[in-house]
Amino acid sequence: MVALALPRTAPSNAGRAVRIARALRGPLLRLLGAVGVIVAIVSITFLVSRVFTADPINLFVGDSATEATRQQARTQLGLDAPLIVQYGRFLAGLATGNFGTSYLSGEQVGPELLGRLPATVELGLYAVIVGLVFGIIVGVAAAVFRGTPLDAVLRFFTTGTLALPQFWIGLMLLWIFFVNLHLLPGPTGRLPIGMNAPGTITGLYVPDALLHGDLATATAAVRQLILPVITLSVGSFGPVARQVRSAMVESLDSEYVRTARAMGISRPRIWFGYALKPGLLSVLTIGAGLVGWTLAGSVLVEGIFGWPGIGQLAITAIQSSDYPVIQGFVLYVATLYVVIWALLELVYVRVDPRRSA
Amino acid sequence: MTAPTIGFPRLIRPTRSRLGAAGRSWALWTGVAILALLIVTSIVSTFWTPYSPTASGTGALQAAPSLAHPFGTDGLGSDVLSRTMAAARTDVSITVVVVLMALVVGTVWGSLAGFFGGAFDYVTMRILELLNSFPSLLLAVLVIAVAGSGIANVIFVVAVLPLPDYVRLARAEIRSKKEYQFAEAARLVGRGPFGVLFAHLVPNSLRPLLTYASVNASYVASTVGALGFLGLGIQPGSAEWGSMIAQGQDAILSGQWWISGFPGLAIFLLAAAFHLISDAIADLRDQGSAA
Amino acid sequence: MTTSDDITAQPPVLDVQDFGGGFENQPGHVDPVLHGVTFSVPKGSSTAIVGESGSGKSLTALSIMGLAPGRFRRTSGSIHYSGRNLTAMTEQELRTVRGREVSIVFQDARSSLNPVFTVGTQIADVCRTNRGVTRREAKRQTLEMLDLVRVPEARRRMDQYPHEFSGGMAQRAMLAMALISQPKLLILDEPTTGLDVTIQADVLDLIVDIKAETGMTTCLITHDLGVVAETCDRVVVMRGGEVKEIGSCEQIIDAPADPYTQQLVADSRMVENR
Repeated sequence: MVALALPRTAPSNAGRAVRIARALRGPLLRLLGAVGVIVAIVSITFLVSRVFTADPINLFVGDSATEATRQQARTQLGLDAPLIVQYGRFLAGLATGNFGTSYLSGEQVGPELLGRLPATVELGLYAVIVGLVFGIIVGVAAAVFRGTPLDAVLRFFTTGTLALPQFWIGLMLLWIFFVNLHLLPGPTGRLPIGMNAPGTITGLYVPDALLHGDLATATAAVRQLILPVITLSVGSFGPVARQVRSAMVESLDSEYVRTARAMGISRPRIWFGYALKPGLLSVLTIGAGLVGWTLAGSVLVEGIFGWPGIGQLAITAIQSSDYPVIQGFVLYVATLYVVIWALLELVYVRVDPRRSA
Repeated sequence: MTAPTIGFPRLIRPTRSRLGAAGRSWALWTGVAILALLIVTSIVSTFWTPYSPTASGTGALQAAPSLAHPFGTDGLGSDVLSRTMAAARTDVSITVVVVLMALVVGTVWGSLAGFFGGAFDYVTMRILELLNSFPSLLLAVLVIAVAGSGIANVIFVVAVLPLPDYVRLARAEIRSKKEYQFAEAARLVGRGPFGVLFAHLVPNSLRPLLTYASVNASYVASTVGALGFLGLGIQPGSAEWGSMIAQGQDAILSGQWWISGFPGLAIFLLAAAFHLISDAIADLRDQGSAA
Repeated sequence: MTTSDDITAQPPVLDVQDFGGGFENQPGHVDPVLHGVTFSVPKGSSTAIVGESGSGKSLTALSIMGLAPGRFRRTSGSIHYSGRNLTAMTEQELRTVRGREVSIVFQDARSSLNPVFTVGTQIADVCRTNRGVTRREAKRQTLEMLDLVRVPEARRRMDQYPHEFSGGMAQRAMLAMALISQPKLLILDEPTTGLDVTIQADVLDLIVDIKAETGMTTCLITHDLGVVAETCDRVVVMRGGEVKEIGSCEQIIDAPADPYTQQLVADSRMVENR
């Protein structure tokens, strides 16, 4: 998406209304574009799923059911109407916030997704933070010590995380830390079996337990989180480390860093101030990718760790052709993705002076 | 007096040093060697594996690695080494086919868009934007979910995902080169537009595309594995690394790591080989443009 | 203006002796670039180093600052600043010289300034590093210095980023940054190359004025003899990594001894007469 950056200083003789209209044009166009993308994605999923797949009616009636029972079930679910009518109903439902009912569980899709959101957010958020922090540290170290054995080791490590399948890392971590060393708990979800969730404030167990002063639950929740967070953060660590390294190498070679050295600025100050800021800004350019990798990763990782989040729900739905849930999931991912894109673009224009020109 | 040149010539690239040069060739040859090993394995597996990869009960159930079964056996008593070898055929060939398809289609599409411009180019760019606004592995999962599993669908989906990148790269390359003298010269000697494009411009634009193809190959290998793991790829139960890992998932919790362990290492080797090769190609290009 | 005899009688601030080196493009093999470069910069003088691109003049300047590119290897000689051997210093020791004792203005100021920090922040940062003043005081001095180098509306300009500056304005800001630590020696590496002719003249006037006010020693590196005639009293002519001739400004321009210098002077006359 192209940023429609506006000049900072509007001509002073332009009318107030004109100025406001101009200021709103960019964000409005972007919003329209975003809604368009979401509608397009959701529509494509709807049509493709209806055209290509096997009859979902088998989910409700046994294989041995008669044609009459099947027809009856179809009528009940509205699957007998022409495609265009189904599509119309679907869009009308979306507009009123009704995502439909899961074929599998009979639950409303909207509330079901919403109820599982905190689990995915807690896991994904920590994973992105861990991936970012370690990616930045490793990227900076590799750039500062480039050409040395340390750089080679870090590069090897980074490439390793990019090439190792994420789900496999999760399984191997379980084997090492749970099966063999008994250091960390097994794949039982957000808390050990038999432990009660803390009262809901944010929906995230660790801060909630801490807010309630329940240290035991907080500790247990953290222990449950360690392995899935590490596994999920692998997906963002590698790309971040690479991005930071190449941006830092470029800025360390730049004329402005040479100027800073010529002026007697200390080396740590150059690394962590003068050269790092351009490197950090470059991470924003892959910010949307970061969210994408984490979401995709959550689909893989949640299943391994019995994590009751949206990713696991989606996989079950996909494996059993539970269309309404798939639709809800697609809508949720598309919205999240588009919103993150738009936010990042705004942030980027704000923090990178070169972009606001 | 000579024209004022801007200061200090840029011939110096600060310390990429000895380690850099040595590391580069080391990475390239390691990558090529691993890839060769995997390709040979997949060829050998078509006519020989220690046991039949589909036979169950070749040994005890879930037996640990031993001389008779170097990679152990799985829950059905099948030999994990034989299955891993047989799976190499599936995974390596899917990866290669997918990357070749995406490379060829993307290059042709992008070259045409870049060369002729106009409405075709405009439509191309809009399609790219749409594809780009969705996380790719999720897109793969969803398309397979709705279109159904099977090798053909997997190949199709995984090849379509990186297509925007190939198209964009090819388009940019052709646009930057289409006014060059060699293109002009080819036009003057009477080559038609397609002759100029495919005989002169495209061959001169291949390097960045090949570098990208190599990175892409490593992602394709991981994605195919991930789809297999989710049960969305090739028929569950067939010899494919991702679905083998899924099969061994439960056994891991009771300590039998080898059923998932070895196929995972195999995916790692395939992906890492392509990473090493692409890093080496990219570094060589840096070096070339610096001189 | 002082005569050349007075100047050479002064002790040198900078003394480059038999300085040679090259680039290690292949391990263990150095391609020589500088050959026994020898000259000195007397205290209070304005010395020019003149040569075409590739003559080694900029590399010499960077070597003085200890900022030669990573592949550069010194093979002979030394550089002394006020009796201290710069070529034997560690990075840590060099830091005490850079900025506070010897400072430098690079050509193309806009890419020499960090694009993601405001100009004011960067100058104030140098001030704080080298003079140990408070943030507030550094800001005040920055403002004062920007006024001194004739940046209009300095208060507003301080909060702008380099890309919002024109080339000439950025060069003034660069000059302010180099001057804020009150160095004893200022190296100017092609400070006006790439600027419009009228702006070039403004910047050169500014440099001459500041020099007159502060009595600082300057070392101007340029390919342009016309600039030298207006601003300098001593000239070092370099070509192919060697010093060809050293003399007073009048002597070099009126009676060049070296054939290459003669050529250079003739060429620049031709440009002027056109």
